[in-house]
Amino acid sequence: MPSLSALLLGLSLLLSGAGPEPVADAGLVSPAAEPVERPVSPAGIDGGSTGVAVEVRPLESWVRTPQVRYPIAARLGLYVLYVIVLLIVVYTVRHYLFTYNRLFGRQRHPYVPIDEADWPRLTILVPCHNEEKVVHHILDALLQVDYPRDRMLVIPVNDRSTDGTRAILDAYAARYPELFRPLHRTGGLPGKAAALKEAIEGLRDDVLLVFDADYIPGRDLIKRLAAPFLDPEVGAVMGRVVPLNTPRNLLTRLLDMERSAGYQVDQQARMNLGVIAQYGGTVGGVRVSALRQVGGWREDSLTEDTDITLRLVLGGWKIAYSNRYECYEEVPETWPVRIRQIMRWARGHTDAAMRYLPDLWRTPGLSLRERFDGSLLLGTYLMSPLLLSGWVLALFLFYLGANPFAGIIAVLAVASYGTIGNFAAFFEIAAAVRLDGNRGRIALLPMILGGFIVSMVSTSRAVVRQLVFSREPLQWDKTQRYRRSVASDPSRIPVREPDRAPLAVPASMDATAGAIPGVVPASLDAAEALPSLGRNDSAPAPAAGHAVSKRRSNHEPAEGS
Amino acid sequence: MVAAVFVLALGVLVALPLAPSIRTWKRRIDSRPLRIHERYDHELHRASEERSGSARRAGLRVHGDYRVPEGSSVGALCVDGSVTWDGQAVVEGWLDARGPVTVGRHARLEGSCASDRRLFVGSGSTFERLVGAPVEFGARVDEGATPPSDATRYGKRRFEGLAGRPFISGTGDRTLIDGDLVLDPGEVLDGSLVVRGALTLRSGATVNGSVTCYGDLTVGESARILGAAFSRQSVWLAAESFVAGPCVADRAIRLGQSATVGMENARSTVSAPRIESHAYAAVFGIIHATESGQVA
Repeated sequence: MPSLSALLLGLSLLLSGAGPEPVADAGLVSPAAEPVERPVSPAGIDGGSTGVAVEVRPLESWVRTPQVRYPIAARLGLYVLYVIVLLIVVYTVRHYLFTYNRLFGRQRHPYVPIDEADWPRLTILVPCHNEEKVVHHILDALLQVDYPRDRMLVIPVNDRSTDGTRAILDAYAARYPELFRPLHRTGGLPGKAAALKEAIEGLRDDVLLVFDADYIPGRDLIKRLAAPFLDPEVGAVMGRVVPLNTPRNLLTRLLDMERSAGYQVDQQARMNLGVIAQYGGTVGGVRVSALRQVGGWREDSLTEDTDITLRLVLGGWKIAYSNRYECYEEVPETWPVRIRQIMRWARGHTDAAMRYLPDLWRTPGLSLRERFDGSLLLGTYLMSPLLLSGWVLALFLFYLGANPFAGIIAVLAVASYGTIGNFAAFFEIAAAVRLDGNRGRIALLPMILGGFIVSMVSTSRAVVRQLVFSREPLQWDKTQRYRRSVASDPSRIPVREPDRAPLAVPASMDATAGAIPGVVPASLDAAEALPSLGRNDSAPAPAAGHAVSKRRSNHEPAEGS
Repeated sequence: MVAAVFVLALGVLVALPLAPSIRTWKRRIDSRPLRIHERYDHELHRASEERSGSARRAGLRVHGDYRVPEGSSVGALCVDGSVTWDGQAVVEGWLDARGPVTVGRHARLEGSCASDRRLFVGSGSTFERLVGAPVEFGARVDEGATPPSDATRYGKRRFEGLAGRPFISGTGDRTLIDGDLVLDPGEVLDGSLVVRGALTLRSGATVNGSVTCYGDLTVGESARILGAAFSRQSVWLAAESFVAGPCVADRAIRLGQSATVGMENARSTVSAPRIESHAYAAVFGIIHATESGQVA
């Protein structure tokens, strides 16, 4: 965005045919500032064919601006602009660092090879609010996971649903009472954080995993998410979310690319570099003892994930991430839903930034890089209003004549469009798409610019609202679901196989045999669009595991390509 | 006029990258959801998936016991009984047996070799991933390896031993140490340790919990970790040492003579880019070297 402002500035310059004029002495000048005569070319003034007088200056004067006296407001604005540009540069460097780390650096997946262990007892929470369209898919998927059956419990938390969610949950609980124990909330604060807080009261298990109701975990995902908790330093684990409804429209395709960059590059690079990976609130989990140590979920938080991430880090815990822990989700299919979603994230994130930024620098035991990157992580959404301000400020300052770069602004504007701001983020997205092996999608990259502008404006609104009305109670806004609803017929609940028996996937969940009813938007070819959720093999499962036919170095970046 | 031409030219320049975008958008090139399953199969194969496919994909399927001549190689082998390979075996794909597997000296085991029972690999061999209960290395042993009989009987000393150490905090059952830590011979700690430096357990020291450290982890002779062991550098397990849970290092692991990881009733995983194992070392579960595995 700042590059956009620079481009506009450059355009203005070129169209006006002249550099900015320093403001005449208005009396509000720094005592140190002395009026400087503007250098004039020995050749004098060239009127040119248009008749407009163009000042010709020696080359050094274009590079080194002579000291001029500006109004104090212009000077202050200039300093603000400098700070904004500095922040942009810092974020740009961060984008590059992350991307280069993913492309060429050593990749850390220390917990992925753990396939045999004394697995911890875990509880899986599935917060639900009017989720009749989707909830049976995740419950079906959880019936098929390969985690030891005597060590897991699923608690779907029904938060005052008014549709058929309750009936669906009860049907599953009646069929598998040892696995599903729904919690029906009828009071208390609304929202995911409040629901989670109520659900963990009296919990005795070691680990808590959380999945939103629209997610579809794969067969081995639970084991992978549980493995990092064997490390006593890990307080939370985060997996990667992958949009399932990608082909739906342009928005979903753009969001798919954004998600790719966020997880494939950003999160994994943070894990590699030993800075703060972010717990995302779903496809992840928290160690119960750590959660209790830091005070549990905050009911009044709109983004309980960011909130708990920071409190765990401040409490001396680490967040583990691996892009090997993948799970499907639905992304918004319409712009209003997307805007509401990102505004909720921005408000919650800003709230967390205001609460924890000072503590991040005060708390002992954190490395400098964790403090620095953690601050940048907390400031991510704050950058949107800053960028907008910088954009406006740059234009104002230019017309006030306070631009310090004089004529070289045109050159800078064009050059910076490719280097400052947008390009770094685009580079990151392109790298992520390449790592995912979806090279055909890269052509859509220029369209991300439109999504960025929408996000920037929405985020700015949310941040300003949060900063100005921080005492205003946060209001939960549930993200809309798009799958078709199916009846909660108990007879369609798949059969759960016993431990160590063949983990056959029902035909309804195997892409090779057909699609999950209602999962895939009607406009899509379901059999193509829905990847398999597991195998449909019938051979007996062994006690031992196998793997690895191609040896890979940790330096090898080309995943999926 | 000049301005109009300039604006027009600029508009074309800005619009040019959008042409392939619009084409891709309209023609739905590469618009499927990312296929997330089986993406990392080459490094993450799971037991049931492998076995279920064994019969179908095996290059050679043997019902009963199988004795392989010295120096021969196989791509994929599935055996219902035991496997005995006299020496210089080469497995280029995978080997899967329900009975015990004995592989002689100087074998080259690429891919995965798994047995539902004991898997023995002779000295001078290289490996990538081995699965067995247990996996044993080096000189031939007739008796299966067993973890220390008193593995779960240790005294309780709750962090008193850390007095005067670079201590950060002890919360719940976990203690954070800033800097290196050395546990004296015979010292016993109850609870998990997070050490932001190197950790050394001198001979006979015991941690009744899991440990993770940023530096090297050295487990001295007959020292024990009754939980998992993680290191961001390397792990050195000296002779007769024991780790009950998974043992994972970012760089390398060396299993000393008669070192043991895992137990018969609690299988475990050993994983690092480079693993070196000495004679009589044993792993109950999986040992996985992502770059190179070697039997001394």
